[in-house]
Amino acid sequence: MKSNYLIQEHQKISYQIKLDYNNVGDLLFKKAEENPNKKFLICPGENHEEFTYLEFETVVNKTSQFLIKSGLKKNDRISLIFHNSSEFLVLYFAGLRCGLTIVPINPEMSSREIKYIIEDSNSKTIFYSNTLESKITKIKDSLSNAHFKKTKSIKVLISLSDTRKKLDCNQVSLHDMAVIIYTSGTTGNPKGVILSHLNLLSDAMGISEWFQFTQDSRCLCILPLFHNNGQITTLLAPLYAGASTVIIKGRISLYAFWFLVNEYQATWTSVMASILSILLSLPNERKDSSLTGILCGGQILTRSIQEQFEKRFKVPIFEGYGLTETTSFSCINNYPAENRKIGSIGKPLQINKMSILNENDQEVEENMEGEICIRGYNVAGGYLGDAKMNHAFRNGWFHSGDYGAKDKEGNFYFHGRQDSLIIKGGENIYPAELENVFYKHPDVDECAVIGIPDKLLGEDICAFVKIKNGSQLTKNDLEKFCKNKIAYYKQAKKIIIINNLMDLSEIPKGPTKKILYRKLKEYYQNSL
Amino acid sequence: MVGSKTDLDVRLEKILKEIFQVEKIDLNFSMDEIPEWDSFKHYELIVAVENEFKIKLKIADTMAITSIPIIKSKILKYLNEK
Repeated sequence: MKSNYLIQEHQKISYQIKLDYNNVGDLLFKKAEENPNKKFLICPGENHEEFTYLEFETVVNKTSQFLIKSGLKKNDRISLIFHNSSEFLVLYFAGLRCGLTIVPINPEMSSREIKYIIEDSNSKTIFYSNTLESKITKIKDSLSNAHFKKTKSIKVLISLSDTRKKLDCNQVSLHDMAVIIYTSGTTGNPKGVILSHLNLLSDAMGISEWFQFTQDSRCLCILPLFHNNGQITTLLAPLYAGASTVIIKGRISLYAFWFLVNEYQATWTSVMASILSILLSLPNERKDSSLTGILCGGQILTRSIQEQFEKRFKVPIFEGYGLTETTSFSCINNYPAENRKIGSIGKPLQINKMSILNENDQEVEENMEGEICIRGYNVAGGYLGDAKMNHAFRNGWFHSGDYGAKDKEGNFYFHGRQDSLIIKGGENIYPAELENVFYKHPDVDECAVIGIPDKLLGEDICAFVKIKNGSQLTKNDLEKFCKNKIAYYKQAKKIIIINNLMDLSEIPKGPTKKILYRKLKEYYQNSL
Repeated sequence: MVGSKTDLDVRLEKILKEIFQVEKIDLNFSMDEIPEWDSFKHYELIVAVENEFKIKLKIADTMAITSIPIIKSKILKYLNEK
């Protein structure tokens, strides 16, 4: 049993957890030793690939040797720009195994956004899918300190090193930086959340134990691996139990969802609430009898969707709550299904504590609303860079910026965000990200971006734009202007030129000229 | 004639433009080069292709569709098997 972890105040809880692994590479290595012939990974698709634990560990070991030979040293950072694929997974584990820090980047982002993350994270080498060549070509020359490596297939990775020497996993400690995951930032630029091996392992263990994963469990991973949910809930959590994972590219997952569950006898999966809505809107029916449950987080799950889904597909949904800063989930509704408290985001995993605090960081009474705060082994050390951003980590708690309540039985409830964050299909988007793009147009006088209700995605984006006097700028001009400057999913579904509105002449602002997003939302709901 | 490459290109291009709501589309593009190609659009695309060409794609084939050239090759395969 490990003890005396070097942890910060907001990572401490009153008891110690038992982790049997020194780092994520060690976890894979030991699982491969315990059960070498057990299936670990299945990647269906045009080039169907399957790996046993031993096969995968061997490829990872070879790739780690290649990374070291290429001059990368412990604590160097590498960016991975891939959709879900075996190439991403091999590089992810290989990098973690030799002490590199992985910076996964959403390939849907624009070249400008990708460049920002590469620079901000100071990534030395950037591995990217060969299908992203045109996007990468635009930024390569302006990032002269980074090495770019196009990765066509896993066979290429395997051929890079023929060594059979086993890499010593013990050089990487639990406290070493494992991944930096970028999440939307209030100022417009994303911020890097630093997660250690301790964070990843503890959260993986917490989820694995919550759902009592065994070697026979099989998770279907349809969420992107560049986000925390996909990485932890459907990859590292089953790995912790020596189970297996079916990895699928998210964009082809919905049509094939029930087929995949049946074909590969998946027992668990993790989704966003919007995926449940979309599956309900499609004619495909469930055919398997293997699926035990679905973990759902990242968006508000309405009772109506949950009831409709469970009635039609006869599988329980376990709502949970977590953020990138808590590695993934920090609480989940009770397992097994009959113990659930419907409407609640559940109780804290054993690896963390949660509390509802007031503005003075004092715990509020039962059922009273306050900020959801978390402390524990899965809570990030902080953000990369500017210490001011780490204000959320204070007084021994991570302050989530979400508000909610706790009942007398200890079940937590999510009420909403304290700020103007938009959650579209599970993707977090701060208004400033898109507003900054609009402001680059010389004819834009002012603008504000809000989330508007969307039946399938939960929220979509609406931009209110005031154009300068005399300008003939149209909605279409603005749509064209934003294209390629920001990821497609962050673009506005609706652009409203307020000069054309009779009852709104200005973006509503408070006395300090701060945009009143709530007022704008009310205006949208009442007037448009 | 159904199945001739030019005819297939024209019909497929029409479907793609309608689904992705774009004015132009390069028939050599992969999924990664079309930001509008998300999971829901993928579903719509499969259904539209099946209806237009009167074919029923196997799920395994729908999962292999990650580019426009692959869609074309799958359509041709199914039309030839008819």
